[in-house]
Amino acid sequence: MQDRRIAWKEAARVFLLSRAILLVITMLTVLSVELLQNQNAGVHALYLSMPYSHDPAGLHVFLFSWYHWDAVHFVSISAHGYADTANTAFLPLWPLLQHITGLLLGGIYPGSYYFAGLLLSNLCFYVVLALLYQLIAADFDAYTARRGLFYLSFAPYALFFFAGYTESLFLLLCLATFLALRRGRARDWWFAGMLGFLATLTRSSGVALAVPYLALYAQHFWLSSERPRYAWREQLNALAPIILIPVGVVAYLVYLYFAKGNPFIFSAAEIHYWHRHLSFPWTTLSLIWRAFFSATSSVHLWGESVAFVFTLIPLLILGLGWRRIPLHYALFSLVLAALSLSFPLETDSPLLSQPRYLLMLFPITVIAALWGKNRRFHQGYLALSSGCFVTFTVLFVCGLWVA
Amino acid sequence: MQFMKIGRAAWKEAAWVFLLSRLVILLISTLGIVFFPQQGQVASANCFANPDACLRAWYHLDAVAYVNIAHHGYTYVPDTAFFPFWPLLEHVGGLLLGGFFPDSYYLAGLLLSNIFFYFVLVLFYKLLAEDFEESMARRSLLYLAFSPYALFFFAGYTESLFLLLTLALFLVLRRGQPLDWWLAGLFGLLASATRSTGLILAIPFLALYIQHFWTPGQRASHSWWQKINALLPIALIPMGIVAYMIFLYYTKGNPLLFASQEASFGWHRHLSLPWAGIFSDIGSLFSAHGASTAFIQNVLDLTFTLIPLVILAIGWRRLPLHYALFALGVALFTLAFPQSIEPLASLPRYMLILFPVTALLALWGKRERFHQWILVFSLSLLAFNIVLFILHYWVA
Repeated sequence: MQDRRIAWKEAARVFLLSRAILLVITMLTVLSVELLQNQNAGVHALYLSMPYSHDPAGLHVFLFSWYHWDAVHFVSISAHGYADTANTAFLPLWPLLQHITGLLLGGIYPGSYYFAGLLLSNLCFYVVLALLYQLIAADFDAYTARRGLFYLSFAPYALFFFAGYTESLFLLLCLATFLALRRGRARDWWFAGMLGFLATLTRSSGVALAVPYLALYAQHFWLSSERPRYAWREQLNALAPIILIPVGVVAYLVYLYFAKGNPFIFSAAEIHYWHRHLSFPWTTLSLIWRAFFSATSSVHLWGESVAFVFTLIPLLILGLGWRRIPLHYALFSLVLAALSLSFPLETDSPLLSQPRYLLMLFPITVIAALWGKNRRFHQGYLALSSGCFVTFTVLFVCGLWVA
Repeated sequence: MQFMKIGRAAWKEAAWVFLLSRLVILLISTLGIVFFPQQGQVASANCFANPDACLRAWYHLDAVAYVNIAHHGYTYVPDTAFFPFWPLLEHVGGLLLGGFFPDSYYLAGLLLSNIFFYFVLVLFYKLLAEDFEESMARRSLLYLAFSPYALFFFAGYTESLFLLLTLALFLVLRRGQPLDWWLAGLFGLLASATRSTGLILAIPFLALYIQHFWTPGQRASHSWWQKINALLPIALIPMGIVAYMIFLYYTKGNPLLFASQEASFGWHRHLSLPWAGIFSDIGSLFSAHGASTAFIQNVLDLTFTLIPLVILAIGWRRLPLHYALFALGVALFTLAFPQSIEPLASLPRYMLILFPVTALLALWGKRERFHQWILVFSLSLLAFNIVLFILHYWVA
């Protein structure tokens, strides 16, 4: 009980600090940087020709400064459903929650849904921090947990925990699954299954949760010294809920069949609109190789390089540190990373969004937090990471592409 | 032995903080220059077709003025507001780098500024480790290198050089050997040839002189000859300005040209009461219509002028008296010359020199939470300011 209180308190501290910084940076950016050409948000059309300094409605621009890229798609789904087929690539749980909250906020398009997204994303992130603290404090120690919260909140791409994206919700469900599995009482396996179901209803890569599920199941029932103590009924009760995990995707398929007549329309959308294909990891590698030589502009090449570096860093950390974390952490990261990397963009920027997907590999944060016991590593990691965090935030607020 | 230990730790810790902060600055500069359009542009610079545009990422505002002076001297009269020692060093550095205008001088400015900043960190550590303790000195280096306006220790500005001379003066005064008073005078002279604010260094000089020779117990143990030898060099401190005035008299016919340029050209700086700038800044916040760039600049100026002052007001008792007096002197001196349009323009940058403020924060930073909050907040603002500077927006 005491531990849980500490977790919520620690989470609140880091949450408030990081949100305060994001708000200050957003305000400063909106007020000092001239409005940049925005390809995505129709709501800005009014302001496109005006520099901020003459904008009489500065507040409006400030309020809508996080309405870019996927946040716009999610708002559109939560207000109009899957009217645009391209949007079927986005799985439904997040827009569904946004829809309900948006209605509670007045149901005005796009404002209510956009703010609902921001609110939910931040709320979920607060819970993410509390759960991450509990998990690390239980599996390691409180110091590591505290550093872990800092590293996650100021990760280079942590701005997506603030924006109306699925990152916060998905990570929340993953961490909750881990915690439920860790406790391992009869009912907890069903909890874990339910959470996994919700995770795959948020993002198809949620199926990766089946791996830590199996690993912990095996550890609990087959490898433990108390093995003979468990009845087959107990074992079956613990294994059965794993079926729930892929059911999230199946439920979405069924919905699409009834709503659009084609259950696989979402993967068609991935292929046709977003140019994502299932490929082997080495195909991704060759795509990256090609992209470096076919880049059409300097921004493009730099964007590709940054995506490459920030895809490589988490994988490197995992490669160097996996021995220091429990096996099911490492397996989960490996499978999730492999899943994300198997769907490269078949364009000249194959790694688009990868750094953001890899943000979900919380074990990376755990490894870094373990290394952070060293004072210099801690300072260096936090300084470099939060430097990128702020720069990327300014980019996003300006409506430029981040990940 | 103790001194040796501090010496080695100072070089090592300074090297670490220096390298880390330079790495962070270079990283943010790179991301900034390749992804953001510059002010007034639609697309970001193409570093392959036009490498100059990216290499000159730090060639903005005063850095340009200094490069001009370093190359053609004071041909442009308003430039006389910039004191000569820094452009003189940049001139020599630029010549050694080939004398190409502007790149050699620009590069020389960057190099010198960074080299001086490394020494700033070393001396700062030594000073604080002796006057306080080592863990506090370590925190101070971080706070200084990552303070919101610390980008000016990277750019070709006078900040690094001036702070280096200031810290060197404090260190030799602390030692107080007969020769050290003359060294202090020399550092003061160079400081006042770098910036008029250098005059204020006479205050810690005097304070330490009194402490050394006139406090009870000390007084009888020194001969009058020692006392005069230690006091005389204080006369050197204003000589930096005097030398500049003589130079201006011979080359331009008017020794006070720098002051008249401060007052007339774009700066419109006039001697005023120290609170005049603060009040006129607050006034401008209410007269501005809605959110504008001028508004946010005034807000930032005010915030980052008041924060150091408040910190000083709360904590000065925990500092040696000569630290506090120096900080007060610099603050009053810089506040006494507000601008007319943006009243506290550049003040946040001038406040960087108030190293006693950094020292105070480091004392408070003993509390883990305070330490993290300060560091993360200040680093975030630094990152933002770097992006702005790189994009050719005004930053202090």
